[in-house]
Amino acid sequence: MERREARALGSPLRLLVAGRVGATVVDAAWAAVRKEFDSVDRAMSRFREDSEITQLHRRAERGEASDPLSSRLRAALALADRAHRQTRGRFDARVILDLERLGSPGVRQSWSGAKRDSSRAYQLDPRRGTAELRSPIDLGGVGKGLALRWAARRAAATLGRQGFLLEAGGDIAARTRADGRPWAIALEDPLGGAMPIATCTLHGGGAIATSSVRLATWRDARGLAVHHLIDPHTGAPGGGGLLAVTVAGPDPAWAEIWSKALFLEGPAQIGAVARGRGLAAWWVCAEGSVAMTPAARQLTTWVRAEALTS
Amino acid sequence: MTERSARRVPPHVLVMLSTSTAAYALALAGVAGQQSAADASLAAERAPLARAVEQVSVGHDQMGARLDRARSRYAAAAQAYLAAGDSITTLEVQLGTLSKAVSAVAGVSRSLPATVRLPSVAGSVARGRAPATHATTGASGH
Repeated sequence: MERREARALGSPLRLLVAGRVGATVVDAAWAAVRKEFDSVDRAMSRFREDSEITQLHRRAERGEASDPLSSRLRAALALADRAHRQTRGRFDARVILDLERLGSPGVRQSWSGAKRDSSRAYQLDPRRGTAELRSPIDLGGVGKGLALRWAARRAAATLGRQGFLLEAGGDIAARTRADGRPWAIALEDPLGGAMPIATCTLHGGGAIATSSVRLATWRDARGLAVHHLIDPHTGAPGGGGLLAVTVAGPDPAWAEIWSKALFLEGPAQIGAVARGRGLAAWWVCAEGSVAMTPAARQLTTWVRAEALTS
Repeated sequence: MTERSARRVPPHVLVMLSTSTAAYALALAGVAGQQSAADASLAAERAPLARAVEQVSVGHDQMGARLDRARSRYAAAAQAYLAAGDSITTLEVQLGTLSKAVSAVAGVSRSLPATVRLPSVAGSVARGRAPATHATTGASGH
């Protein structure tokens, strides 16, 4: 097993390549992966002054039209727009305004005086390749999912039929191993325990992503504990009664989107919504119990303590 | 002697004739000069008008050519529109079929129960010690 590690998009980045494979090939795949993550960082990072998304915000704030956008940023904006519609507004890139209002440590003042309204956050012009930004947005989560999607494609192109696993800050994309054995994945305990809450396999590759309140939790101005998973319908932290949601699927970007959207459904609705959409989803309730959909059960190899709910 | 004297023109008459001829010649030259100046002035005044008329004529020719081109484009567009019309008709028919199918599916889905009580099944998930894994999915703060 060959392994390469670094940091990208503010998270650990890791590549595992199964079986016997030359270090040169792995290095080439790793370089392609790093390059893809760097490109996404330059396009979508709100922590970089020279990133495309920051420049787009600056121009919009000054009332100027946008320059033609890179294909990566256009893809991310189109995906975020589609996710907003598919999740019936549970996914919304504009929650950065609420995070800012709640005093999220990582969020800077991005657009003075901006407010979220009912209209769309931006309007893409596919002919000119530009976007009219109407509100500040954060593409962090979508960006990581897309970086995984694109980097996995590049790694696959370099590694050929060699199986590999690519992990970026808790989100994973994998391709089938050459020996046919599936990749085994642990689902982290959101309460911080060393033992996972469950384990599963990714047959034939695919992706898995988790939204959890274990990190990015702080106290607001009133001293109340809040977290970063904001319900766009209320502008407040959502999913009360849930600690973490994991979603497995063919694409890392959509796994990331659905893990967030399902989390915001809360413990009462998450089962029906996830089953209705045929998603493989696991969720951990506040008391530490685990529940899952039938699609997730087919992937599960071990569970610590399952909730007796249907 | 008398005949020669009778034919002879008196000098004062000759002087008068010469003087009046010279005056006439001078007047004629003056009038001709004035007319020439007036003609030149008129020609200079008419030159811009002539140029404008020429430009209007050229513009008219260009507009005519443009109109010809627009006419041909309009004809081509009309032909394309007619061609597209067939495709749109086909598409409309297909949309109609799809609409019927959607209505049928919607009817079936409405007739389904909102929830289905599933029978209990024996858990096939292993318990006890967690198996070895290659990676962990978890919180990232995004």
